[in-house]
Amino acid sequence: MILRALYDLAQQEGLAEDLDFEPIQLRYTLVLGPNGMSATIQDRGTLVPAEGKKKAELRKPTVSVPRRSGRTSGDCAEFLVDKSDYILGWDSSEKTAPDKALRRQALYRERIVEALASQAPGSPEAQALQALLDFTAQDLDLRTRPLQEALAKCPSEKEKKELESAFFSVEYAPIGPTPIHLLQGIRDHWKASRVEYQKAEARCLVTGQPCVPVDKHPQLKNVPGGNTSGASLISFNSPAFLSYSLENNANAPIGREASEAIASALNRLLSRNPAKPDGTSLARRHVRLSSDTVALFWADRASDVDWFEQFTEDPDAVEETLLAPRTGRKPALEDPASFHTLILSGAQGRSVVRAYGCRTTAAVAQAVRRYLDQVRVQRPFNKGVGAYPLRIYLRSLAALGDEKNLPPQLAGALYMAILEGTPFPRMVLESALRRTRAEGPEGEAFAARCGLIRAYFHRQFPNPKEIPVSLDTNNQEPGYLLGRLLALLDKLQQDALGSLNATLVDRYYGSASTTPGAVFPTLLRRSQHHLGKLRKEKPGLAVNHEKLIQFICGFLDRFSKTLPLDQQGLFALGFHHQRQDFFTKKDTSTTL
Amino acid sequence: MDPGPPLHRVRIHGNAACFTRPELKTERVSYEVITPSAARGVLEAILWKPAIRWKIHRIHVLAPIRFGQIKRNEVGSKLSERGNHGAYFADEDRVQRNTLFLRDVDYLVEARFEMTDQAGPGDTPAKFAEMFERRLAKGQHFHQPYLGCREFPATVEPAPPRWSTPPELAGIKPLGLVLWDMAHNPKSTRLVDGQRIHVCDGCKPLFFEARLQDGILEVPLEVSS
Repeated sequence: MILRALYDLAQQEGLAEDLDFEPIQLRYTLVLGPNGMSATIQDRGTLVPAEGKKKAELRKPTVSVPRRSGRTSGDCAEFLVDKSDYILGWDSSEKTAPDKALRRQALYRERIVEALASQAPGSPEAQALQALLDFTAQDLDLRTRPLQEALAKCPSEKEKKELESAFFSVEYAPIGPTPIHLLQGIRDHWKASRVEYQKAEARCLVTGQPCVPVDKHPQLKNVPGGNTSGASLISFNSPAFLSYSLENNANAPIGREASEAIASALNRLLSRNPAKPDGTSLARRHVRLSSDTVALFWADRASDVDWFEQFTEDPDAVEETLLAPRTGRKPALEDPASFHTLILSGAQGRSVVRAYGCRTTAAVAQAVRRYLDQVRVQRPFNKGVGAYPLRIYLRSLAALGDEKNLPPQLAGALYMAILEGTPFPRMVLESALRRTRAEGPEGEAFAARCGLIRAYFHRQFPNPKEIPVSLDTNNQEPGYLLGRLLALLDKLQQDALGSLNATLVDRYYGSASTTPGAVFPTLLRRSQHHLGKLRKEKPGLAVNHEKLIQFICGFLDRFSKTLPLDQQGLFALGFHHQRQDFFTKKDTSTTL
Repeated sequence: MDPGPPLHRVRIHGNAACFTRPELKTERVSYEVITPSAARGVLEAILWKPAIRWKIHRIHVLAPIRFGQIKRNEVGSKLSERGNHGAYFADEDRVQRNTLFLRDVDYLVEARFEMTDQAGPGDTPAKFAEMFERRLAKGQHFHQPYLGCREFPATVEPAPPRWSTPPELAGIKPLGLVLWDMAHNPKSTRLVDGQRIHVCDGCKPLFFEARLQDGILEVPLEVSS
């Protein structure tokens, strides 16, 4: 189903119309002068000025180039669009030895000679190809001069490195600005060279049509955790993966058309700047969940799912988008189109499918809305009540706030739980509490953890607990009350003694939440001293504090020796709610 | 007149199952539903004789489709069939492979067996039908029935009198091309100890366009290659 869904996506978005070409971001062009005597290297990147929050970025044009072969370290020349060691026979970054580069150039020129033979003599195509052959036949100094000049003009090391490993398309100045590989005669030659001559005997797994099983599947770029040369989704690169004496990809016969369509669809989903082959740009369809996991999403039938990426980045904006109909299309909550989610990560040169889900867009929209509702929390620094972007939640569960320290697979598991409407994994509660004990209940991270804990309780099965966003005076769960009590005692200490180097909370949060029986009696005894001091300075405030503390203690018949994990979660929530309650302005009647 | 083999109904369920997709064999991803080939495997574990061949007619999915994921350390090579292997150290050949499996599966399989050309004069359909129902009721099997991979054992029982598919599977759910079974090449044999045995060389997998209708998968009886 996964491959079929990807194939359908490629058809739907027009990525599979001309599989002999593929869109890539190409910045540099080698422009040949008349008769191939001279050439220059031109930079077609455009600088987009900074706009609001976005920094200024360099936009590289997306160009359709002849489909590349997916070479790794062997010598294999691409047709017309290639790197400097193949076109010029010289590698400026010195990674390829000079004689190897010359061998590569010979392979490149071979393909040009073949192409020239198929063109009508005197035609623009033939002239352009001849000029290219003449230029590349020149001496080393002459033919590498354009590249050396361009390298000298590079403003930074980063640009220089980019230029050294860039692909170049070739243009011939006298015939105009079209790159040579897009001229009609040359396109026809390229298509003809890609025709399959073997008999189609196997049945393709994806389309069901007779096909010649493809040998090697195109690599996917941008898979996190994978190699820089790419990672295949379908590969059989070890004998243990073969069965029934079938060799390599005969284990799963897939035709070239299906294979390239699927690779186009996956590359489009993984790319940061996706574009159609003709250059029109497409919306981004992936969410980076962690350093080695990416979640791809797409929907059938051109339904509008741009809002989906927003829920991970900007939740406040999503609410209205979910409800409002957009220019004639159905609002997301009623859209019956299928919505696919695929979580991929890279390992050992392969892409691994971590999870796959397929539901209606309406169901997903409903699940997202429910999640945003449940995960709302009173945010510190006067941001009001709302949800954080998903990555803030994930970071709050990681040591030192670093994504790399997240327990593996937690990001993917949490993401799928959100989309499918299932309970959160228990690891969410455990990690949130562990981090709170280690880092203390302060700041945005703590608020984010409280949001996750609250959502965890709402979604747990079989007994979901509904807990409001702010203080619930009717909640009599022991964990919740103890959390409130700790917050009250801390406030009392603050009011009585002013600011201190080590507050009550700093010292006792961890032990109070895990072993209240050992800690609270001592804390309550000490609070009497604080009350005594406060009574002398601000008697009214002291009375208030005393009332609140007595009120809460009234519900607790004893301080249990330990608190189980669920109650510790409620402890964190009680603490957070009570703390936030101190900051909200109330009317004159004090609520107990 | 012999009415022919009857339709048998069997309930197969287990904690975990992995009906591996051929195209995603390396990092295993399961099909959403039991393949006819795997269902046949379960029935053959209960009863199989050279005289009969099982044909799966219909599969009812009784539990919602849920995936789980595990990572396992496996090895990257196969032992050769010939003897004289020498030393093989698995810890020098480790490969970590991910598996996306199905959780808490529950199926009701409707199947019928047909007689093959190896059936003798005394082999009637009724004989095997009764043998199968007896073994099913007693829980007898030749080897542990499993759900796709050997590490996922299956519990096989006679079908309950009533069953229902979960509401979330209502409607039509297309599953794409699903493995129907292997078409073994009858000419591919090898002489071993004076006996001709079949070796898989040129045996092709066959696929069919599968669709779940209200949780029921209709399986074609023949698939052309």
